[in-house]
Amino acid sequence: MKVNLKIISSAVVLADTKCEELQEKILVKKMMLRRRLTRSSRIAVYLASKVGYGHERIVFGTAYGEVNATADIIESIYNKTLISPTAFQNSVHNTPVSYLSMLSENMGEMTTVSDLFNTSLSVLKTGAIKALKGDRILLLNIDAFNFKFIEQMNRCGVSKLESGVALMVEVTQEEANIYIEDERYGEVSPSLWQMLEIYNKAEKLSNPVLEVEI
Amino acid sequence: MAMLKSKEIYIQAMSASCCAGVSKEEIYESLLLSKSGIKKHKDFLIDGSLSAIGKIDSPHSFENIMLEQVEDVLKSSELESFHNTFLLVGSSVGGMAWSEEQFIGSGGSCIDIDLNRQSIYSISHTLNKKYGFKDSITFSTACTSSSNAIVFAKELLESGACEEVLVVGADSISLTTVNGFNALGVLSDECATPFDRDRTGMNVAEGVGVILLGSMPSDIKLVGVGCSSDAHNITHPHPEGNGAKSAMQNALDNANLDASSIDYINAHGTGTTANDRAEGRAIISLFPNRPLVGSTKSITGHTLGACGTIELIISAMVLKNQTVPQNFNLKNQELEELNLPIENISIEIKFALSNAFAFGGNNVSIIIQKVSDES
Repeated sequence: MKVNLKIISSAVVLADTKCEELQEKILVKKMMLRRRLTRSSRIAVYLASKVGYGHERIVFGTAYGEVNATADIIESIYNKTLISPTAFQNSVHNTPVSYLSMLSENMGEMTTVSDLFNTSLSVLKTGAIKALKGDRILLLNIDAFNFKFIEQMNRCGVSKLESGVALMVEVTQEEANIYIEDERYGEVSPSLWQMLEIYNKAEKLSNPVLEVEI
Repeated sequence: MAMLKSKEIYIQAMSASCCAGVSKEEIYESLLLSKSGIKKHKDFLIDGSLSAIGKIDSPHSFENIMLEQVEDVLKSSELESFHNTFLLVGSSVGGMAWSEEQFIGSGGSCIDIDLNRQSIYSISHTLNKKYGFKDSITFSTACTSSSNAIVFAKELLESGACEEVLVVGADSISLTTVNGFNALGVLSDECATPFDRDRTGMNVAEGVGVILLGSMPSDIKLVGVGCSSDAHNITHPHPEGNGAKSAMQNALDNANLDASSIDYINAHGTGTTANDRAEGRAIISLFPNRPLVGSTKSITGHTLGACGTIELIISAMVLKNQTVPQNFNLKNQELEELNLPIENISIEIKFALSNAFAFGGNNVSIIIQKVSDES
């Protein structure tokens, strides 16, 4: 089955170690809340602002989740020291979109998928099926893993340790002009490759329409 | 243009395992007989104190327990294989317990951690290797993970993209979840007492729930799903249960039902002060006809990302047997307006609603129907 998605807007962030221009002070006015945001949450809030996010439903994808919080917890367990409640509450995969729902006061559906290197494909397939209801959907794909054990874990040689792609989409009957061809981006986590490929192709087109095969 | 079309979707087969039993029949019997699977353990909290946990009592590994449940569903279905079946997994911890072992065993190093075994994806990796599914997607939204997988299963089937969907909810006990909930101050050192005025918190548990959905008629139909976000707080639900109410209303709308149709609600009912009060208030406000309400977590524990499938299976067993289990351990009900049975009640039940709520205010409600012989 094929679903065509019109790409209404798109945005990307890629950084070697840390995205610096995420406009947190403008986008998250409450200081206490701002301080609690994880790195992925900050990227999510920034990307959402770049694609004109309002109250759309969200399909979010992350392969590794909140690795900083997870590493803090597992180290505390190993060292038998107190676990930070904030680290635990921030450790679930849906943390970024939960903060986004609070900041945008959006009570709509937000789901999170995680399929390691297939994560961006899962975001696209899930989003395509959800979009069949006829509303706009925000597709978000983020992995931020600049954490203390990255040198032990980074076996793919990924150099962009923070990366994210956002696509605002809706179902269309128009003919597709973007097809997923599994291009490789060695410096970026494979969990984002398909979303990044679509972003790059969409940027060159005036009316990008993506074909998703499920 | 393909759109989502209303389609009759049925539970074709189901199987479950948790601390209260290693089959859906055993779990349901434990609920009727008030045989809780929660036991006190010394091995999980880092300070060495006792915690009340729902661990599956089995010589098999958690992975093998999960594979047994999936095999059970395959055998009791009419399928020869899962080659044309879409797999949807719901899990909040994936291979976390394995990673903890590696990390601690190697003296605090990640060098031996294999992403295929560590990540949330580890479950579908294992299942795909054995069964070769048509395709798979893994949902990870904390305690609503497998509920969100069921929501998507309904949408996938309505889209016509596939004929059968296997939903697997699975979460094993990990040091991270036990100590994490303890850090939040919501872990009870006794068996949980959901909806009780004197409740002391929740019991972390492990479990697997497997549901095969498709269009072949059976006695249990999946009729409605509803999702919402609290948009309120990262761990605390909205005090009036606004997000919970919205998810239940969305499920009713999706099923084309009004609130008075619901006969039984399997509540999320974790046993924490905040959850039970918010959920209770939402139910009271949305269901003036006072359907029977039960939390089964004092028997099964809170199986985290697996609770969506396990408690939908329990709700299906309630519909099949037309008997609602008692709320075990409930002595001093907090919200008087809730209709919480303290003994098993046999009564005609046509529609059951099952709730699951998660960190970040992620809410899912699912409605199933008993299909009578005449209909």
